[in-house]
Amino acid sequence: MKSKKSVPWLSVFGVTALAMASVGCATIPQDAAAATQKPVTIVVASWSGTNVTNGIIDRQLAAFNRSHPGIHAVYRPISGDYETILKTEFVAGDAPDIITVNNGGQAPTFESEGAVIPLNSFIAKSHYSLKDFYPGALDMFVTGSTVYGLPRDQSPLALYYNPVLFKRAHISGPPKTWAQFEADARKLTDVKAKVYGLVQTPQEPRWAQFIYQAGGSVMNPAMTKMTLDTPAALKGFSFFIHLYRSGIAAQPSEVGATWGGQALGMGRAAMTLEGAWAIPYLQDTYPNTHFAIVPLPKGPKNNDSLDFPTAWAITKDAKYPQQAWEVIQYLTGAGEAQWVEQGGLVTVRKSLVHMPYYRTHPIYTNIIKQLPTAVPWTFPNGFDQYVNSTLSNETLLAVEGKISPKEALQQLQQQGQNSLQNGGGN
Amino acid sequence: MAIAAWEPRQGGIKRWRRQEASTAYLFSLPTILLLIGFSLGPALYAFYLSGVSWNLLNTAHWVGLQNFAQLLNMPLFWTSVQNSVVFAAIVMPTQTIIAMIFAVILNQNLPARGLFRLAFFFPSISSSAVTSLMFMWIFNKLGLLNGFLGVFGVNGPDWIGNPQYALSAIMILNIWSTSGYFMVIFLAGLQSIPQSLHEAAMIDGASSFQRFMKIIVPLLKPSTFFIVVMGMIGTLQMFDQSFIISGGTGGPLNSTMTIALFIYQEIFSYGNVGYGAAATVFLFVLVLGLTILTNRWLGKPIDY
Repeated sequence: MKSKKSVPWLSVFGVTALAMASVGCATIPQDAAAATQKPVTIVVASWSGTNVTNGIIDRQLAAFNRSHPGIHAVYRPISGDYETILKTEFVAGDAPDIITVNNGGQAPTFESEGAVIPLNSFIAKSHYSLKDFYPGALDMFVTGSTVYGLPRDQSPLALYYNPVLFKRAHISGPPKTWAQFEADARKLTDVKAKVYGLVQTPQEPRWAQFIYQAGGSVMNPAMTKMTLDTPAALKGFSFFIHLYRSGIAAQPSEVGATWGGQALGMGRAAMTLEGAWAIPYLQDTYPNTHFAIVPLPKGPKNNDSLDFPTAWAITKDAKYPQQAWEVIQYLTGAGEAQWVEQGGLVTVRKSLVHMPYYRTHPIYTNIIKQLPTAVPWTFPNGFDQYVNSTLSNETLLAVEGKISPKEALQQLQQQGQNSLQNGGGN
Repeated sequence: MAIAAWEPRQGGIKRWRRQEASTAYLFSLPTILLLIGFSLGPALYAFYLSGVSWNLLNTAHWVGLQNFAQLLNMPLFWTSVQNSVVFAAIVMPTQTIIAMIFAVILNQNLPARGLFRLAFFFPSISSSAVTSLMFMWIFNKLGLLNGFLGVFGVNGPDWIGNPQYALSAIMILNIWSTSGYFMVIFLAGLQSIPQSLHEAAMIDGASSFQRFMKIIVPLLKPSTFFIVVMGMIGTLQMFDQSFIISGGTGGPLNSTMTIALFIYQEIFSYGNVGYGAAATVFLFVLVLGLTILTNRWLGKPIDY
């Protein structure tokens, strides 16, 4: 949504980097002095994901601690309501030193209220290059020219399908266009057997890409205006709703699942739209269900996807921000390759896309194909309630046929405009 | 004269009373401190917070009654009030009646009585998070309950995913998990009803249903009062089961949004501490008012 903003500030950045270079030299002795004392503990927090994910961060930090005797980094997975728990810790003033900030979540609030600190001076001091990051993944955590987070991982949506169900329905291959997508979903749906062409939670981060594919958008690039009142937006949204209304798409709960990936694993979904996070899940939980991944079917304009990047940030409560920065530098730099090689999500570095891991794991190929044009999913400050309930409620009403797609979009447009005017609520 | 003679001894009693009282306070001091620190203090703080504008991360500033004005204009707030009141109005009487009937049945000399008592009491000592997760599987579209209904040819609904049924599903879960606890309280009440009353009634030719209506129900009034008040407070404040079953959203379509969940969301998810605290005060007034009414109705001592 704001993917065009990266170029000007990157160049500004280069200049600052040069200017700050001499300052960086002056501070080195201080850091060296700190290193000879007792190791400084840096707490790294993230939501508790799958065992795969947690194991990776533990290993990354263990490797970091071996090569940095002055710093002891520990990983603290937060289970439960991640951002709520963080908020209470911010109030108490003892938040972890490093946290993962999420797309579309509280990241804008954390940034505007100063809960996470700007990284510009650290980046400049250590001549850290930001050029290798996908602009979409980085821009989400940049306000104006202030960098609040360095990208950790990302994944765009792609089309997951069950080849066995396709074969049984005599369909030669996965759909390439919206029309094929709908026709295939119809053939694949068997209501008696509780198998549906598409099983998907009816929520905005799973339908916004249809709007982009129809040539529309959710907000303007500067995120100052809702753009859900355009014919293109209506076309994309109506297509998504129509799949449910004609009975060839179902909500996960209708087949006893909690999300699309699970429904696919259970063999009750012929297709679903998910990101790379579903790969290790499906392989571990449903090893007997075959699945394949292809790029999203093309709409009237393109087959753009939505992207979901996350980033590492330093909190206001970090007592040793310099040491915390070293941890982030490690995690986003050398550690990054390790992260991706262990599976789970997609790299945020353009240079790593061609690494051998992806050649030996072709399942990622089609997900990576979506990256160049993927739109990062994000909303500005003050959209918490809009994202949490308004979007899903209006979508659900449309899916249940209580209101038309047009009425739903009108509501969303209007309530989004209200959120913009209130600009951050308090 | 007589008064004068009594004087020193009365002073002794007073001193003794004072000593007694100070010892009593000393012994209850830890509890009093805990109550003030973790219960009364935060409650008073909530009253203060209902008058501020604060998002947890910025500095709070006083806005007076503005939060209440905003709150009363919020459709979502009224949805949550409606859900909570409907929930309490159905769950509280149902669980009270079920608990009373089970208590009377299990007070008889039945075979394996202990086993049944254990089975009925078991839900109330299980964690509500665990029982909620358990019921999510039972209420699953392809779950146990619908499988059971399928035997009778009923095509069960999507209990948790359908806004029409989600709150009912939580009602069933709540009744199941609290009836057992209240049953034990009724059992204790039943033990204190003198056996002679039953015997006298039996000699007079009263049927067991008459004895239930004329002896058991009236004499259980103190237990009933306690259970009605506790049940009302518990159901109006219901949070955990909604939170877990709806994944914290109060969905689908706000059908499981209770006042307590609304408060949690406003404060912690949306950073509207003032609105959340104002809703807390509203809930307090609602519970207080209903408790006073219940006290007028059931709280009188029993007249034989």
